[in-house]
Amino acid sequence: MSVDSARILPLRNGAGTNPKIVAKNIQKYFGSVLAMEDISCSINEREFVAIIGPSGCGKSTFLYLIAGFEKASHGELLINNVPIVGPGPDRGIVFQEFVLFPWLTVLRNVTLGLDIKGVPRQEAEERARKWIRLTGLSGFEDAYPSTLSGGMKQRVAIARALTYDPEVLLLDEPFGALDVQTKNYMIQDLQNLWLEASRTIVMITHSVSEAVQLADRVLILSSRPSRIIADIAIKLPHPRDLRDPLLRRHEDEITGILSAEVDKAMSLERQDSTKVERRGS
Amino acid sequence: MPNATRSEAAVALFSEQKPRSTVYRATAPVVVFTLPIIAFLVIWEVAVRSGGIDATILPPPSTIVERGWMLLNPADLGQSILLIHIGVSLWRALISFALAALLAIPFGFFLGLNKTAYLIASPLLSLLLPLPAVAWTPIFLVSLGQGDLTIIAVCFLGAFFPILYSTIQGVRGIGRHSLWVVRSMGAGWLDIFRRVLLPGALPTLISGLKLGMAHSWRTLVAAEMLAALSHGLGFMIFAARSYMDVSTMFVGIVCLAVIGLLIERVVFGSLEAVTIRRWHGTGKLGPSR
Amino acid sequence: MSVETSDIRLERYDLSTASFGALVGIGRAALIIVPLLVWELCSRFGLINGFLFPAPSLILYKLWVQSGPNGNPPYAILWHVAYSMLRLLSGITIAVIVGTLIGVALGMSRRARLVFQPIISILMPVPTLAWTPVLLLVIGIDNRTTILVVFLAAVFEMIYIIAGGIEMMNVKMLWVAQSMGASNGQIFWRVIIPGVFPYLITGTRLGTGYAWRALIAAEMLAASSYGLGFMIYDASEYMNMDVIYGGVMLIAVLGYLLENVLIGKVEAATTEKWGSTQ
Repeated sequence: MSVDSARILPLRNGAGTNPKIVAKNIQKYFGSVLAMEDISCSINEREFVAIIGPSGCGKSTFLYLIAGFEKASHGELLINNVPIVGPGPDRGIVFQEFVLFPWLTVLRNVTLGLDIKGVPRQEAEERARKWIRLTGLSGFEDAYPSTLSGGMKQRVAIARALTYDPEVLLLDEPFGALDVQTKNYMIQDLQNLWLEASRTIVMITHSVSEAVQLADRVLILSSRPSRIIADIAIKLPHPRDLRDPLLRRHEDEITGILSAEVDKAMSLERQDSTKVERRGS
Repeated sequence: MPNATRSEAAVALFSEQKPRSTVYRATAPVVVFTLPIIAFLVIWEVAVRSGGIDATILPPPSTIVERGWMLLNPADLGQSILLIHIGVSLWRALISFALAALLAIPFGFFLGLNKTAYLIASPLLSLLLPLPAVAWTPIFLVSLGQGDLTIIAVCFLGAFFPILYSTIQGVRGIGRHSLWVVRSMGAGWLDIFRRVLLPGALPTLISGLKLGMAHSWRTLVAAEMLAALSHGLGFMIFAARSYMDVSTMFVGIVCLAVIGLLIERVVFGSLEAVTIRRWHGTGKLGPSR
Repeated sequence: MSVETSDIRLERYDLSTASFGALVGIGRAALIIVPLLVWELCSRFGLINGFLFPAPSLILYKLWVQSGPNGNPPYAILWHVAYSMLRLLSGITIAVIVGTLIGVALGMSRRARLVFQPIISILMPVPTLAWTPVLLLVIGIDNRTTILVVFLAAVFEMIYIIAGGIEMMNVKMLWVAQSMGASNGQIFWRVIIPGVFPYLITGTRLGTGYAWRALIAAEMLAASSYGLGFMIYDASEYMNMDVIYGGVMLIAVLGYLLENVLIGKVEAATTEKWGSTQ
């Protein structure tokens, strides 16, 4: 993938002001456990929002609510002012563990969304090849997923999610299963892809550096039961340099809030476990 | 999974583990298991009695129980024809199984340890393993005639090859490193056998024994239908045909199912509990490879 | 399964690869040929009962004749094999279809499992042959009886393995398809069936093993005129030992081919190329 790193690209173009996804007082129970207490936020069209929080706070759950795989216990979740009732082709998803179909080649994995929609083979392959090129997978169209490395599998997953043009792209810790070097390479590589793939993007991550490099906005969730405790805008052009002092400041700010939250979560856990010990089970 | 016998496989179809109270955990599995069966029996009974199903083809459970009771003759168990049939079948199965195990296990150890012998024998073994043991019946029928000897011979062959094969796999599956450890401690032959070979091969071996028993039992039914003179569950079921006696047939089927389940769960279950589960600590009743 | 052989050497000599390979080859040939030769000679020279143990050459000759136009009836062996194979194929095909549908349903719905699993676990351990007399009474001596026996022998295995396979599949694969707007039908054919395919193969292989055993026995009990099981049982009534031995050999070879060769080929073309579907 050719990245002209000398070229400073403008801000993510046209991150609009119209709300795309609106969450109002979302509550989510798993059995008797309250995972999300009160989540309210509004994600605008073509915004890149990163959601970050301590482990177990339910950030992936929020993504699954938007995706429609889970249902909220209370509250409203709307896309384009229409309530979300289930999964649909307007919201594409990329999972941490890739979830490619091993019986399909790369090309057929990428055309999957279009095949399901019934788009004719010729056109589907053309559109797929464009994204295969943009994600740097040219030449691997006929390979089977089992022969690919983790980084490449994730590129296939991303190409697959983009090819059928969903309005929203949901990323569930997309770089979580990759080693550090591959991850850094991917983050660099894909910054321009996001510009090309201009659409609303919601990304879950536990890595602050990922968030500040990619997102326009960072939402920080508290520990369980989760609420939004911070909403930080990052108005910097792409490609972003981690050494940039402005970026550094954002990074520090977010890290500070996050660590405080993680500490709180740990101490809560410790309290719980001593309670259990005293009960003598 | 290839080594799972059918009843244990069926019972192990799902196991859910959720945190629950102790009472619930004790009673729930029983309830969950028996409720659908009871419902099934009730539906069956009603379907037949209401005329929806022909009772001459599929008698209602009540009739089957009645017939079973009659055959059991609880008033005078010594004269119980059902017990005699069951006893004869069990005896035949046990003897053939014991003989098969006695011969197959040592032979299996030999082939497992001696690579040359294994390579030479393995094509022949692969040919004989999928051979249905029933196919030997006509040969024995001609040479030995009907009766116990034929049946036991056939069941012996039915159990022999699975046990042999499993033993070989079990022995070959023992890692070199276990052997090296013990040898570096200066262990002699007997020690190696006791401490490494036997425990190492045991899980697969027991799995093989279970499989062998299952094969033997299934072959027994077929062999009895073909070659039994007067007794045995297979004989009982087949003979009932001439009287159009469906109830007796189903009594036989029920007995076969119950005995099959008992053998696999009770006998092998406890054997596994003492050996495999204690050593390997799995919670599942699954086969080991 | 590639397995570590033990390090204990019971062999007396250490052999280099080439001569070792030759030794094994000779050994394998010897294992088959030598007993046959001994059998042949003993039988011909009356050392063993020539009636109970006809010479292998006679057996093969009989097989040869019976396969050809001079057989009694003509091409007898071919007919027997054809009938057996046809019954097997029909029964297994039905078992695969029914077993897959039921297995998928059970694998995907916990409620369905709760309801049906106990019943299946009671029925599954019943030796398939035990159902034959009932079927004989209901249907009589007919191809349908044997095919049904094959079906019963294979279907439980299919259900068990496929249900297990579904349970092990990653639910996120389903989610990916749903997020693309796939209909239930599309999900079934594009995700579930390919995902469950390796288990379908395994189930078919195991089911075929059970089915072949059940078929031969059922043919002995319930076939009227053709089939390998029928052939050898019928031969026993006339004490045609050569036909019996020939039949047993054929049954062994066919059983081997079915379980190892046929299904192995399908496996190589599919699951090995795909890697794990988990």
